[in-house]
Amino acid sequence: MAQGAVHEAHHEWSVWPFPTGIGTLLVPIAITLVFHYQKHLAGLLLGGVALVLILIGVAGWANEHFAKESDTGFGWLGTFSFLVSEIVIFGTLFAAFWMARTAHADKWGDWVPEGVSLGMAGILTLILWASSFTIFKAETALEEEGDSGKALMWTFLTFVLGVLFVILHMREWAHLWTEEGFTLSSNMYGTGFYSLTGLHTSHVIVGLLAQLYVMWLLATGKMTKEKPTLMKGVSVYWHFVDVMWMLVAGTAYLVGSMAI
Amino acid sequence: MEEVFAYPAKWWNEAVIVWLVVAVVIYAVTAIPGLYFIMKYRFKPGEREIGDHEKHGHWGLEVLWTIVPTIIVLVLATYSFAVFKKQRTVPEGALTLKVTGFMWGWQVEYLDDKGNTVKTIVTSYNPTSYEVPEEQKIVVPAGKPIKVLLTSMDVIHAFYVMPARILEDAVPGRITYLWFQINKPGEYWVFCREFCGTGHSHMFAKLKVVPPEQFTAWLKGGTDLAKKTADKNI
Amino acid sequence: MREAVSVPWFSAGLKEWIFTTDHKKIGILYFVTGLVAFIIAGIFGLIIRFEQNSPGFQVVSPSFYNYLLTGHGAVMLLWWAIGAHIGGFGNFLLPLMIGAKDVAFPRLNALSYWAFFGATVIVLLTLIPGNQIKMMWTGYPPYATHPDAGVTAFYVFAIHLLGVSSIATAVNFITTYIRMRAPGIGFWNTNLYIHSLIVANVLQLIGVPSLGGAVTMLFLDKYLGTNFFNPSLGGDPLLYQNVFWFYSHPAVYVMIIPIFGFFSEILATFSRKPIFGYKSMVFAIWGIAVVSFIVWMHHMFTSGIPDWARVLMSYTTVLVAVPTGVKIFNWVATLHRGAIILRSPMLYTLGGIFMFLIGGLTGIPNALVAIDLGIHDSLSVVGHFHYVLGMALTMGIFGAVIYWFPKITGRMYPENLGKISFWLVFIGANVLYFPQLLAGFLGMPRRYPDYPPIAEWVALNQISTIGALILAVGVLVFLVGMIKGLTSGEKAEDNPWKSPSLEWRTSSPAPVDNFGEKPPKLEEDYHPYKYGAPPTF
Ligand code: HEA
Ligand code: HEA
Ligand code: CUA
Ligand SMILES: [Cu+2]
Repeated sequence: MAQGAVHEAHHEWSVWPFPTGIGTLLVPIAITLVFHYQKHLAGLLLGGVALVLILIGVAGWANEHFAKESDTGFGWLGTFSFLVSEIVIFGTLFAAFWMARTAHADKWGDWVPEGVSLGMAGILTLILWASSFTIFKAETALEEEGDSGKALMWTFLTFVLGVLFVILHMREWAHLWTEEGFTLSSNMYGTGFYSLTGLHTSHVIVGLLAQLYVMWLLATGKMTKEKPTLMKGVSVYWHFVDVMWMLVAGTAYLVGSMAI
Repeated sequence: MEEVFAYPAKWWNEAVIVWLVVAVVIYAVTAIPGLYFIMKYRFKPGEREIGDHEKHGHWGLEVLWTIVPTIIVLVLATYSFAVFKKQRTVPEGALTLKVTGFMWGWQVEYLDDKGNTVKTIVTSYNPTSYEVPEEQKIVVPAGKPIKVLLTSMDVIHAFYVMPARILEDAVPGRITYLWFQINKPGEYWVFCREFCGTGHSHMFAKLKVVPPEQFTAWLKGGTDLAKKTADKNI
Repeated sequence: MREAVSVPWFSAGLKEWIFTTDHKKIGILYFVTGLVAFIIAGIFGLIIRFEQNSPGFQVVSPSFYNYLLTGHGAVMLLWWAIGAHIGGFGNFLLPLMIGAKDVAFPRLNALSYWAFFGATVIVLLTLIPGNQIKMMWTGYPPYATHPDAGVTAFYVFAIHLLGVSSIATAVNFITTYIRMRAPGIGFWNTNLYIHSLIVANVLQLIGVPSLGGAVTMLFLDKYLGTNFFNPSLGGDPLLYQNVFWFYSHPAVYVMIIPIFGFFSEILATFSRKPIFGYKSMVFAIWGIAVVSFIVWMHHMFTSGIPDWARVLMSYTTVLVAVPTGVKIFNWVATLHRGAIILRSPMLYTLGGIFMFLIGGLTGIPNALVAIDLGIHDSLSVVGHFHYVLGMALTMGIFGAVIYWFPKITGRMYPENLGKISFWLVFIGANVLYFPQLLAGFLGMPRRYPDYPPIAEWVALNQISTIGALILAVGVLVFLVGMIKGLTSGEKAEDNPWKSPSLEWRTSSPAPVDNFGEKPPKLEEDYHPYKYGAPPTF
């Protein structure tokens, strides 16, 4: 057996992690340039290069996987253990919020702006619930029925709901920030409110990008009943985002805005 | 009563000795058999080429060396709890100082019974030497418990009263406390023990412990202490 | 034994190194990066020693000292004590010891390395004058958000990149272990090193994001004006310490537990005897791991947290001594009725274990809250962790390098240099670190480039410096040995130590596809510590 043959048989070699890794290195350098050294142009340029590198890397990577390999089925366990980490990331912000909330219960009331709307939180919750249902339908359509078209349709619905969530949420922020003067630095409620909801929305956006990608795979026939792991992973992730939302909304909206 | 130099240093010293004895004993109990086995059971070609494969474990032993250390550490922790309680309980009638850390020095306010500031001392940052001008020394009475309320103006510092072997952080936005008592007049070190930047190693103060009468006079103002107390460093 | 199909790894071209997804090459990349970091941080350590040698500022300015110490602490801990051996040996050994072809996600593994590499680049950037970070490896706010602290962003992002790397590695290793074991390897006949590695990675998975969260808040506070640590608007500087130590305490076990794994492997092989109490060893490491998440406040005993919390965490902390003790006693019992061979890996292991014992026992006064009120942030804390890190951990890694050298390079590490380096390291390190313990009990604070001329302090610091020099020579000899072994070492057999463990059942150096197309066939009663024939050296 020649070494070359070994290389081919199971990837001992891949071009894609390297550009992705270099991209991930350039992002922080770009941010440092902008925020620490106030070199906005250089930072933005570098950031652009970094994003392109990451996009190329991830696209090539995924393509390699879907073009050449069979599905090992490990992805689900991988996603699942990754979510353990995610819970802790959210946990740090919850800790921050709750510590401040309990330590400053007396003056907290002064920090709550007029316009924090529980109604909006309710609408957002309903949207996410609905989207959890649609992605569930998409998953079963692919895995059990093997019907890519149907899976595509349900994923698309999920995507639309997700986008709606982001738009409504951003409008809410814009309102609070500009009209109520409630910003990140107003006080600890502002800090906690925006960092929690912001972290959550960033996860929604990652989920949406993943869904876009899944739709592309479904549409081009790359993802089939035999290779459902990515779909499963994306779906688990989305359910996680949904569950987290309830904790985030419960904390940032409910507990946060009730003056006790 | 025997002569005690300082509190809570006395209890602290005792606790250190207790720990040291326990540690040395545990070290001996573990290392001596270890060394003995290393010397005794050597590999010898043709004679002793393989270790004993029968002994995979021994429940009795394993339970024993789980339980005994558990008891030891619980006893140690409880003893430490008892000492800790004394370290944190300020005796009656303590003199109260309010100390505020800043980069890189200390502001010390002497409070009266009602909490009003009677006198203030501010140490200045001296980046090159460890000398302190006379008027910047923190004067306290000998043989009297002193309670220190701590806070900070900028970053976290820590107030370490070296002769009393006690420290506590000065955290912005919080008031923390410690107490100590030094029975022997003299001059002693106070250091900042939480990292606070370029001047961290020069954020110190001198504690000048004087007999109570002198202290009262000093607090009222005007007394020159420099000549009366011997200059003793610890 | 199969014929080696591989071209030895060192003849691979640059392109192959950059684009490799082979766990062995990635492991080597990790280790070499970590070793370079160790040398740089070690030289920082020496400069620190020269500065502390006597009162006054002789070698560096206080602000540069702070940079050196920040770099020394952060790089030693995160690159040497975590990256070098988990990324290096973990990658190399995990698939070999469980009979797998590679890890579960080879490309993700490569990305892990490149993120680690990125963090290294960021640290190197701080060497450029004007870019220093000076907030110590702990980076406590509000100081870390103060201009005096330097480029906080670099500190934050180095940790973020390491975080990406560590989480990806943890996901990868855990999945690999659960799903890719060769038939015949179950939970109770896995190598203790693999158990340790998995425990360490579970800790990483749960802990690292917490550190990530802490430094992210630092970034937001400094650059975007949030109030996490701003007490006047409801924030709290202690929040950082809580979140930071929630990871950084378990992190010390992430560092040491895999080293315990090395100890177990090497000790068994050179005693020609199964590890005593294998099962209790496994329970012990899981015990340490679980308890490690409920002790973090022992780093904050003097920070103004409530008294009850201090006492509570004091109790939980000392309980860690119990499972750790079980491990130590089991090792000693393994020596009993063995056939002990004092090759250099064994010397490093025995030295490491007995020095860990000192390190562990000097952890106890830190854990007893009453004593810690007098020694927190003193040099005795520094002595404590250098005993566990600078000695137990570093000796563990050195021993592991010599032990697996044949499998990694196909050549033997020169034994005489191994022995000489051991004695120099062992003596040097003790002379270096023991005075630190004493100076701490005599009240000397840590992180002090300058101190008043108190006679005992000066004397102890000067002894310490001599030790550092001896140690540096020892490390140098060790490095020379590595180079000599690589270039002109004796050619190694496939199984020079005659170990039954799986990684020795393939050729040396390990071929690209590990065991060939099919998983290796194991005997019915396979156990990694069942010794038979004596070694032939
Ligand atoms: C590998 C790294 C490592 C390891 C394994 C440990 C192990 C332990 N550490 Fe250490 N520690 C550090 C690295 C490590 N530490 C570092 C880096 C710091 C400083 C961080 C900083 O501020 O920069 C630190 C600081 C530190 C502190 C904070 C001190 C302070 O800042 O004031 C404390 C306090 O409790 C502590 C305690 C302990 C304890 C109880 C153990 C225990 O796990 C030890 C257990 C082992 C034994 C006790 C020996 C074997 C046991 C027996 C033989 C059984 C019988 C024993 C008894 C009955 C006692 N450590
Ligand atoms: C794995 C962890 C690790 C290791 C191995 C070491 C190794 C060493 N450390 Fe330490 N150290 C820490 C982790 C570690 N350290 C941490 C976490 C801190 C706390 C930081 C903080 O406060 O935030 C600390 C703090 C610390 C201090 C305290 C300073 C202070 O508080 O003011 C000192 C002082 O002596 C010191 C010295 C050394 C020395 C001399 C070595 C030596 O063992 C180094 C030996 C290695 C080499 C010397 C390099 C390789 C050798 C060669 C290439 C040979 C040729 C070169 C020459 C002869 C120049 N370190
Ligand atoms: Cu103030 Cu250190
Ligand atoms: Cu700890």
